[in-house]
Amino acid sequence: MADNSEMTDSDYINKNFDRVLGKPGVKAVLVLDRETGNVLKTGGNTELFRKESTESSKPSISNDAPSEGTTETSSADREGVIELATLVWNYVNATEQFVQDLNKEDTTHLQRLRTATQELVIITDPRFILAVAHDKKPNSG
Amino acid sequence: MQQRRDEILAKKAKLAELKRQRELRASQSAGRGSITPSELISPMPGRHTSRHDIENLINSLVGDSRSVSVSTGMNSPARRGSRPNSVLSGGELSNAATSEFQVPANAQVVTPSQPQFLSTVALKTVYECPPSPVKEVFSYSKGVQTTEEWIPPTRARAASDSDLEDTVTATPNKRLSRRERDREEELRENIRKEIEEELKAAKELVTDGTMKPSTKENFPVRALTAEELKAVTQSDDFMDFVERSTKVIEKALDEEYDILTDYTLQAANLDDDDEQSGNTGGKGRRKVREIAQFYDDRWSKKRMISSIDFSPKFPELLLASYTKNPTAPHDPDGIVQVWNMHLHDRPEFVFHAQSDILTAKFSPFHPNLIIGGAYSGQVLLWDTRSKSAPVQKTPLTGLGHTHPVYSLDIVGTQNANNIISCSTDGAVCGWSVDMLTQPQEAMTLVTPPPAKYEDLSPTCLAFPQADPTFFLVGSEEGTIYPCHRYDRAGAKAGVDARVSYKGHAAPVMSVDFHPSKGPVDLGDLVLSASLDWSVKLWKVRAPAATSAVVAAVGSAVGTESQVTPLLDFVREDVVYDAAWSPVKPGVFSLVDGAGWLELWDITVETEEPVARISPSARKDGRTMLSKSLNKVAWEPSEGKRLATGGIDGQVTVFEVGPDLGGKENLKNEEWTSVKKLVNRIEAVGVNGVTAV
Repeated sequence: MADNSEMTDSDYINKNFDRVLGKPGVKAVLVLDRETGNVLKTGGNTELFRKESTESSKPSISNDAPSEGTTETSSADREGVIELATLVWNYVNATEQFVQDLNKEDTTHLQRLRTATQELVIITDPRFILAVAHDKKPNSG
Repeated sequence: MQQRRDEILAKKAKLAELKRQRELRASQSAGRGSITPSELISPMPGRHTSRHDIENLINSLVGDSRSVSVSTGMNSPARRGSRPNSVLSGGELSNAATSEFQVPANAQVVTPSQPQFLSTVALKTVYECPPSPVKEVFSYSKGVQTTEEWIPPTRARAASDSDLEDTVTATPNKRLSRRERDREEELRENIRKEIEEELKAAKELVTDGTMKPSTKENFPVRALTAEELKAVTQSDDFMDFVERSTKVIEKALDEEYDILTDYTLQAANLDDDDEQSGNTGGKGRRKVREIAQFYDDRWSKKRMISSIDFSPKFPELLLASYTKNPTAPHDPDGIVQVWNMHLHDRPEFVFHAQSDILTAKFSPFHPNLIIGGAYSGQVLLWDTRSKSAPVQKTPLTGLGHTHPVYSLDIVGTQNANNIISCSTDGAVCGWSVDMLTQPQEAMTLVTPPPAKYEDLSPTCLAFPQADPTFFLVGSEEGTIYPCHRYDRAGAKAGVDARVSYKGHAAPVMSVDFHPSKGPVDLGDLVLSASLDWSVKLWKVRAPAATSAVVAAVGSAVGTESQVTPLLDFVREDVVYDAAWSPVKPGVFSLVDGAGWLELWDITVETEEPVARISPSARKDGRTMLSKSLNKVAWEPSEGKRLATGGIDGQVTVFEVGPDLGGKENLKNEEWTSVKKLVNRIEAVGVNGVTAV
């Protein structure tokens, strides 16, 4: 569209994330760089990916720039996010390795991982990784 | 003194001698510089005798240069030997040089493949191409180059890695190099993991912030700065990825059925999706249930729906075209949104146009193409594989339409089809899908003679299933006219003056031919909806038979024969649209200005609808004057779902019960009973129907 400036672009992205976050059961969204594993975007309560951390961070969409002045997110939160990013990244790479071991020409697109407590939906792309954690539906085993 | 003079003289003599030699050489080389053809063909005898030696020399040189270029990379005689042009430039004209110069000149005559040596030597100038392993390259790029300009070390290394990989294995496979890089990163990752484990172990002992910097340091690669992050998150790649991936995520989350449902668990939560919940209409097997509503805050806001169409290829996709949003002057005036039944909260695609879109349709012959008609008179073509702008549109000139295009269709066959569009000034154009710059055919419809005004203002057009050269147009005055695209026996192209279907007293909003897919041909039945609060059922005369009919009925004096409707369905409000079910022969649906969707089955009842339902209102929508429904469309393959939309810009999809749609229990009696009904009305007349 002609009048889309950069701001409306990022607004648009944020809107998309908000919409995903607004879905019932969605707890957190995380976008990583595929090659480096850098955290590009987080949304929702990323702490909820993992059970072990007890403190809760407020649900918010933020561009996580590590060198940026981090006023709203504490460094402990950031560390949690980074740790989480590492876990997701390792998982994705392991899967990719597995897929390529099966078939060299193949590549991963979508991963749905159902655990006893939640479901992770991970979409991989040559450049980015998007991971969403949401509550599993009731009445499923 | 004498001695000195002698010395000077000797020197002079020597100089003169040198000069003479140089001149001699110069003349030799000049002669060589402009080698005459004869010389080429028959070289000087002195040279000729030494040809054998020369050829030997060539062989040795060539052999040398090949072996040498790989091993050392620096061998001046070999290089000079195969660079003939450089010899003339310098003062290094020695005898050896001349003979060497002569070699290639001769060799060019002898072996025409000589120029190949040029390339082999060019390769040789690359000094740092040793067959030695990786490490030397590292030391070179790191130690020497970094002082000059800054190259990101990881990228440089990765590039040289991949280069080496390519040259060594001779497979320029990107995937391979990427995997190589991945492996490298994995190694880094392993190291990092080890450190992390150590840190975790340390964490259990002491829980303070001392390990923080080290964790950061070892995080996958280096951390991005704010600028880099901004660059990445605002790149087109990132936008595309977000666009695609969030769609997938939403579809995954919108999926209703849970494949892990365990029916052995307690069934307490199972009955929450009760039949009674939600918006339903009708009863029993004629139930109508609302199953989805589509509205996008960004694009649907303050726009009205002007048309709806289901994709003939993908039954889960439907499109809706919209008029302009008067409060958003910077947004495109007209848009088309493609909605997916599995994606509830956002459109699958959004297409733009500079003018309000009044009608849009999926091409039945190509699943990716969407055609549309605009208020500006343009006919537009969008492609779902491309971006939101139309891939083709007709120019805003007098060649095509200059008035709003309210109706269009694609007719023909898979290999030969045309877009037919009509605008409110009576112009009807045929377009090739491949070229919208000018119409393939054009005509202007005029009201046939007995009328006061010649102007004809078509609001809608419809083609029968069987004939792409004949169509009906509904006009603003209320009459429906049959039209021919081409001259044919007994009728000229344009409005057929001999027959007209008069009955409506207000503009006709839609005309729909019966989809004659059944044991009995009902393709001549037509439904029309009008602002005169009624829907009428007509039996259209076959275009070829009209002359015979006119001869019989119109007493052959050219008087216009008027056809009256078979059935008249009078409603309580203006009717904006009516459409036959694609599978059930007696079922049709209509939408009215009061916001009702009604389902009729003429085999059951001709006075009252068998079911009616109104879409549930949007929560934040207006309450006044927002209910009117403009369009209704059936899903063509199954006939179980129908979509409607209107002033409030919301598309609502309903599912009908087994007696109103679906292909499961179709009976041949339904066709015959429709046929019987039509025959009875024709025989008995319209008594009891229009007399209401």
